[in-house]
Amino acid sequence: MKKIAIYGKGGIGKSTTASNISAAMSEAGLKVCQIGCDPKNDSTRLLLGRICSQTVLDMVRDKDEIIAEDIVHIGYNGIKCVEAGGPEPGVGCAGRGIIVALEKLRSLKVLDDEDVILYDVLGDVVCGGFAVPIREGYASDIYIVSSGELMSLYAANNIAKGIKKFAMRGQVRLGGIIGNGRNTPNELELLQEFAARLNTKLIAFIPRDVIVNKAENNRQTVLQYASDSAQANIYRKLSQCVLKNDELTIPTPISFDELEKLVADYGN
Amino acid sequence: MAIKTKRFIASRKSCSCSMPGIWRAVAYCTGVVVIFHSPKACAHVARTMDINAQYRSLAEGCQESISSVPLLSSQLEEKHAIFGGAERLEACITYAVEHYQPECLVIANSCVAGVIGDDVEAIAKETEVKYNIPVLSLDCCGFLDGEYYEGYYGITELLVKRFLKPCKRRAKTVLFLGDNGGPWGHYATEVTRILTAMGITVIGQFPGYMPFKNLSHAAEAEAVIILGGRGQTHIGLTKIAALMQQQLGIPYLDVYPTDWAQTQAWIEAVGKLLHCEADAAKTLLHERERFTVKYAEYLGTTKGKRIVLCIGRLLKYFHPAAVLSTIKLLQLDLKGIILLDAYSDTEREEMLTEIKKYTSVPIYSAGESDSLIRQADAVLTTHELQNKKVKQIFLPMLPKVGVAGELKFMQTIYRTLCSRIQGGVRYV
Repeated sequence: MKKIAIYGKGGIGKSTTASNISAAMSEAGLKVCQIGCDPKNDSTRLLLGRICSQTVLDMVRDKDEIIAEDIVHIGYNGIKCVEAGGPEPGVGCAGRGIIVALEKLRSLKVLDDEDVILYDVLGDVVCGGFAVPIREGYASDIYIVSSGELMSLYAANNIAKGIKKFAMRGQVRLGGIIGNGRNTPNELELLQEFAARLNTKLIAFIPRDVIVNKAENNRQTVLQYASDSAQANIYRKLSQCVLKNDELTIPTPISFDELEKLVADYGN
Repeated sequence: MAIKTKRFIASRKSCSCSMPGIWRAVAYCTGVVVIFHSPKACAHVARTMDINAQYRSLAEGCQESISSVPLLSSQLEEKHAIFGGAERLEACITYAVEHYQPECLVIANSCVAGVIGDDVEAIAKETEVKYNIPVLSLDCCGFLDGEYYEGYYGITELLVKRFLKPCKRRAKTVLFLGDNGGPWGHYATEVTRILTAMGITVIGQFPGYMPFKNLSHAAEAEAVIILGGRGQTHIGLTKIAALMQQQLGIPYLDVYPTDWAQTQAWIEAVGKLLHCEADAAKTLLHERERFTVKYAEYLGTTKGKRIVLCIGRLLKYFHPAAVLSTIKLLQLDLKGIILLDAYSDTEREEMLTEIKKYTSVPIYSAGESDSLIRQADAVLTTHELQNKKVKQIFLPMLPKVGVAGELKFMQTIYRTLCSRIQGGVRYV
């Protein structure tokens, strides 16, 4: 079983990337489960064609006994979709929610016969709860989605710090950086250099394409909306790289000063 | 061989929860209902405190005569920690209002409520408007940002600021400030006895033991008598007394009758504060006669007996003056003072400096004093020692006060010295 987690700055395209990777892997014949670890519940929207309305934590709140069918929803191409869920903005503790949701999934054994489990985690590792996917052995291969923008790289570097900490204690490793193009100057080269500084590699660069927006507006992955498009093939290639990637490393985060200089050196 | 205490001495800082402090501050204020916005188990601490208080009363032969106010818990569970506990608290408030018709609600916040950031202050304000009753809530969550005293003094301060207003004061009346075992405890009963002899009436014991509807009468007192001690108790109560003086114009007394000398000074100070010096002098004379008669009974046995004093408490919690004064009065032969291994260099130096103000006996460390202990007829100690052969007298955290307290302490020493049983610990 491949256990993958996707991290990255809020709004960078984690859910879109994760959903397209899931779609590509399922097309390749693998049994895939995507788990959204964000109280917004929108990770699996493109796979389900709707916002998931029945999350793990909804069930924890409303029901005494939960069965797998309550929380596992079947999306595009048979992909299992789970949303951890969480509180409304401004109340409660979403981090605690992630811990409880993942424990519940484990106790229900809903993930035991999957080929790939893909965790799509909230922007930053803001507290211990959001580190659970990498801390407790839920995911072993971590990918960080980033553009060439300074603050996106800053978030990626921070996430790398978290991965480094947990990598020292266990099996979790950084699989690489997934570049999500925002058309900044020398973006590809900058991301390649940034990845190298972090002791990893740029595993793929996804150029900006309006077809991604169109697919999203139609509540579909690119693979479903425009199966034959070049963009769909980029996601297919990315999914194969992720599956075959054996260059997993312990990251070496850099200082903010070094990051600023790096971005400046590449013309930003 | 070094002497060893039964229990590891590790307590450097207070490490407790603010909620029991809040509870204790209003636990017997009839008309109040307390809500712990917490998991169910947190309320257990308050329950344990109540049981302990009852046992203390029983041990002292006293009888509790009042019941505590209702204590409810919002019973936060895992799902409330995730989704927020505000609705749970609102439901608990509604239940409290419907079932108990409280005159005042007091909400104590738990660690869980603090971590998830429930806006309890806003709920308290809304509840006041909705049910037209005062609701007190302290910005203090379990042990996250406070401890017992933070809760106790925080809620006491709110009570003073909100419900105590300046009013006509009644001559020769006092208000007790603090807890110290409650109205049925040794401190309050002994002090009340002396005050009554002086013709002074005690209006009540604030904050924990006045019915909510009587709180306004607290400000009628001519003076505030602090039922204090050392450390945080002294600091916190003095601060509240100063607030009352500033807000209500009531003077306060922060002298504590912790040994015979202090008791005499205390009686004189009370007489001066309440303008009844003649009554004070008369009472003092009577107490002196009483003390002298009893004290003389002990002297024949205590004179010349070899005593060792072991101290392991920090100076802010234990001042050696009172016990050294008693040792001197009983003409005991103090062979030495042992400082147990409980101090940092600075703390040890502070205690040494203070001890040297009162005595010139040798002072030893725990590592060099075993033979001293073996030769003693009895050991007065702040910590129970492992040595089972030596007669130990345990010095309590809350010292006995007044004439009765001093005599009780002397009686314990006397009985220990009379006893043919070797070893064992006696508690004052």
